[in-house]
Amino acid sequence: MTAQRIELPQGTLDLLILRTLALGALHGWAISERVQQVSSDALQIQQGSLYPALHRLERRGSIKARWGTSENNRRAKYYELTKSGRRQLEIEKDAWKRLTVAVSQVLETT
Amino acid sequence: MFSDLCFRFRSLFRKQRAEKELEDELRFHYEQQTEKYVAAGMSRQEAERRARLVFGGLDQIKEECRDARGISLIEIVLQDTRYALRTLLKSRGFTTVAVLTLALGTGATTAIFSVLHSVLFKALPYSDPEQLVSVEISPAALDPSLRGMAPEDFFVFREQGRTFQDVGIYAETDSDHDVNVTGFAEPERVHALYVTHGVLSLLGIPPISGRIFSSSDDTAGAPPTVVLTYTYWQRKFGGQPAVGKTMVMDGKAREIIGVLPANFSFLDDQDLGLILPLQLDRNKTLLGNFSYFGIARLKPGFTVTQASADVARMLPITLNAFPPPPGLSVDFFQRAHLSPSLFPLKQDVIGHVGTLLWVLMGGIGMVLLIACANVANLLLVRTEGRQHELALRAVLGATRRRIAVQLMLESTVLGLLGGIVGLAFTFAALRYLVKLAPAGLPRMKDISVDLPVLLFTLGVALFTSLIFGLIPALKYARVRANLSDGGRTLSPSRERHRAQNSLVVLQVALALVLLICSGLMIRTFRVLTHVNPGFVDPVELQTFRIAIPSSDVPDDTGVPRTEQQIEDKLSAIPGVSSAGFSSAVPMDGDNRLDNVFVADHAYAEGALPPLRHLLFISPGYLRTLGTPLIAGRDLDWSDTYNMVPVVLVSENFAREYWRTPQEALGRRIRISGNDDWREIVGVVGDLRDEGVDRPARTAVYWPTLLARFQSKPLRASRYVSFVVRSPRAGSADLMKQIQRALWSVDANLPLARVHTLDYYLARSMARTSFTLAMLGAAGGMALLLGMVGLYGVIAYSVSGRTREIGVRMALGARPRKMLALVLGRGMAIVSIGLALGVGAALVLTRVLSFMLFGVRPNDPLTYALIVPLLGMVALAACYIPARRATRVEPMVALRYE
Repeated sequence: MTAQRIELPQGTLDLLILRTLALGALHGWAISERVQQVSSDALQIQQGSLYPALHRLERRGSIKARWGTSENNRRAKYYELTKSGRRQLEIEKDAWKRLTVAVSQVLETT
Repeated sequence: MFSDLCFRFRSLFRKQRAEKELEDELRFHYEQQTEKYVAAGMSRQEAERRARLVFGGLDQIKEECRDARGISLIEIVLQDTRYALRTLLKSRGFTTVAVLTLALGTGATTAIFSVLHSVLFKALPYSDPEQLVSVEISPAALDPSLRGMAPEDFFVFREQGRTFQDVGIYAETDSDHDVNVTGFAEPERVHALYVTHGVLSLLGIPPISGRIFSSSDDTAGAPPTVVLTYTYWQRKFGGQPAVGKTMVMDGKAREIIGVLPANFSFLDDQDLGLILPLQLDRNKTLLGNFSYFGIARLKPGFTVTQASADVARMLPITLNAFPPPPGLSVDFFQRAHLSPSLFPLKQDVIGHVGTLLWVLMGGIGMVLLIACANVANLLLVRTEGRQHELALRAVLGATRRRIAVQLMLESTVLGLLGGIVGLAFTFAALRYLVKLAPAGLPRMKDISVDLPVLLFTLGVALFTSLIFGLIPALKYARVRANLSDGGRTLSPSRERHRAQNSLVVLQVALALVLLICSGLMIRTFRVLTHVNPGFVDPVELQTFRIAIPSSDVPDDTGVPRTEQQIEDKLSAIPGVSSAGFSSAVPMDGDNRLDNVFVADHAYAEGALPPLRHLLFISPGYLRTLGTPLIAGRDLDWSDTYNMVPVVLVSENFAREYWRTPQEALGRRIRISGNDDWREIVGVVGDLRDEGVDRPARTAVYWPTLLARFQSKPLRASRYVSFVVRSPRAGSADLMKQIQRALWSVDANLPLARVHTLDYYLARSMARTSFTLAMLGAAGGMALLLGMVGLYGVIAYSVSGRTREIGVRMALGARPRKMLALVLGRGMAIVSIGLALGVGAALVLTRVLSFMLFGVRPNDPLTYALIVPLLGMVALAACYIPARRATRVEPMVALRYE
């Protein structure tokens, strides 16, 4: 279970957050847990970058926040995708795919 | 973009809540993390330590979140405003001077604007005022400036007009239509207005009690009625119900049918007391009685031009629908070329003061600019002094924009403070202005500081702060981070010098323009006071007006006897040297004109003789005024009583037809073909009876009782103005004696228009003196502010160069040379300003030419006096600080370091 940690490349944090929220509303801690879990611990989001990113996305209107109750009955701030966030997710997913394809092409060309 | 803005605002206004939420959110995360570690088997203490470690610096995350939320810009503004207020409070001297300077400029500008706004822009206080028009006819072939409306026009326009909802006419609102109200303690002459029933109803102002006139009131023979204005009702009835009561006016009982509301005013008529129905008899109407004025409400969608065309269509119909008066033919009216003269009602009320007010606004605007230049100068100096602080901020990471915003905010705060203090100044100035305003300035009682005026002040405050704040902001926002020399007093930068000098040049130039304008007005005023008006010592002439109603003296031929009795009693008052009476006194606005034919003179086919001013005088009247008899003899009482066909003419009338006044004697003149010819027995001096700035009109002086005159069998003068020459004129004491003399002849006679002749003379010059006072005040402020600005700049440049001067003196420079150096630099700037000012004045004073009399806008004397005067004052403003330069002790100067 101990996969090697990968440094997050520039600009991928927003994509990961949007993708994670595409499944439903989550609070900040759950987002970081989910990413870590799904990536088999390879990706770990620093709180120092997670929260500024969430606030930035909220300001841009990609996600919106509301206060709700967590599984253990605590008040927690839940984030969910907005319509424009969904659109942005599609665009960024697409861009990411093209980038990875292009990068692997370059790497695999001998 | 919009949601972004909302978000920013929300985060701004719910700042505390947002902080709390951020705190909660992060705490939740931290606790979840701790729980996770505890679940994994760590002790609580260890788990908390790990969680803190993973979490990193809490405050830093918070700061980054705040940045991400982007609340900074608005916070910057708030923060910087607080900062600006703090720094301004710290330098109280600077702030006081700057705010007072701005207050003076803003306040004066706002005061003039509120006059402009109330007089020119505000709508008339009637319902749908844009539909209201004044409807007049003018005899284009005789004198297009004459306007009036005759009853026949009224009948036809009302019945056949296609563009009018309703038309009404009213009688001239001069005091000859006032009425004697009797039956109260003292007889009283009350200002009255005669209207057809349409006039009040088309204005759309309902009465507060009773009713206004209907067609049953203004038909001939209807029972006499009257409507009261609010002020008269309050004065006479103390607010008690009056409708249904009767009042005696000119010996006739009238029923009060209604009272108008307090906000009602008829056009610009200030002290109207009574409104009476104008009863016209259609069957007795003859053509050409143009002594009325028309007012109409247009049908929705029609323009003044369309209405004019409509009137032009109806004028020929009118001429054929009514008979001409005896002695005149329809042809006569066709030759006069009657044409429509319609204007929006507001224009009729405002008249021609628009240009004058705009000129004053321009003048005050210049004062405002000078004030701005002063404050800009102060700010430049101050910002220069703060270079160290600004450099420090730049080094600490403030962007150029941030520093510029900071500087602009400071000037905006200054501008707004100036605006607020300026408003206090406006209130004071307006009270003064309303008192000072000439009689001809309409709508003065409408003047107030209302919302548009406040918005104007706000606009001016922001605009000025932009002007004076932009200069230092642009200059110093880019300050280089040269902290190293921040602490040393070097000579002021060359750049700031250039900016300051340009500002001083501007100030001197503007001040010169304003001073030249005031100078021209002073010259005009002097010329006017030296014009011979045609009468002498007007301060010694007491005038008042009476009307002898037919209830008191029923027979017209008895009127002169009563009037002579009064004249005799007046002459007998101790200290009175002479007395006389006339249908009008000079400059009281009388406008009785008619075409006068001269016998044995060949008139061109179809042409009418010119209009002359007609006056009906007692034998002693002209002698009392001091108007000289040039040739022949004065009228005497036997001419009057026996209705001898004799007449006097003015000298300019005589010279128009004959070479000398003597030749006029024995010639004959008349007005209508049915009249008797009257022999000219005397020629008298010209009277400037329209004001000293207008040429004397040609005038004809008739006896007060006339037979077969203007197509009427008998004409008596029941409305007359008396003049009494006494050194005590204008005193209450004399008026008491006059009243006693008058009432010993007829106890029912009230006096009206009690003034000395000097009052009319001053009134005729009121527009000039008002303009003079206003431009003088503007010029004074400009001089004061400009010189303070000049003084400040020179003083600052001297203090900035103390070290340089000290070194020079130590090296042997003479104090005189230093004085010359500083003075020379100051006067060089002043000279450029003066040169530019003369150029600007030569162009700008042309707009003033409509106010000038006997002086041309480029009057050399004015320029020759004002330019050196301003130069001298400027020299003095430079001299005081320059002298300080010569007193610099070299050692002290060097020790400044």
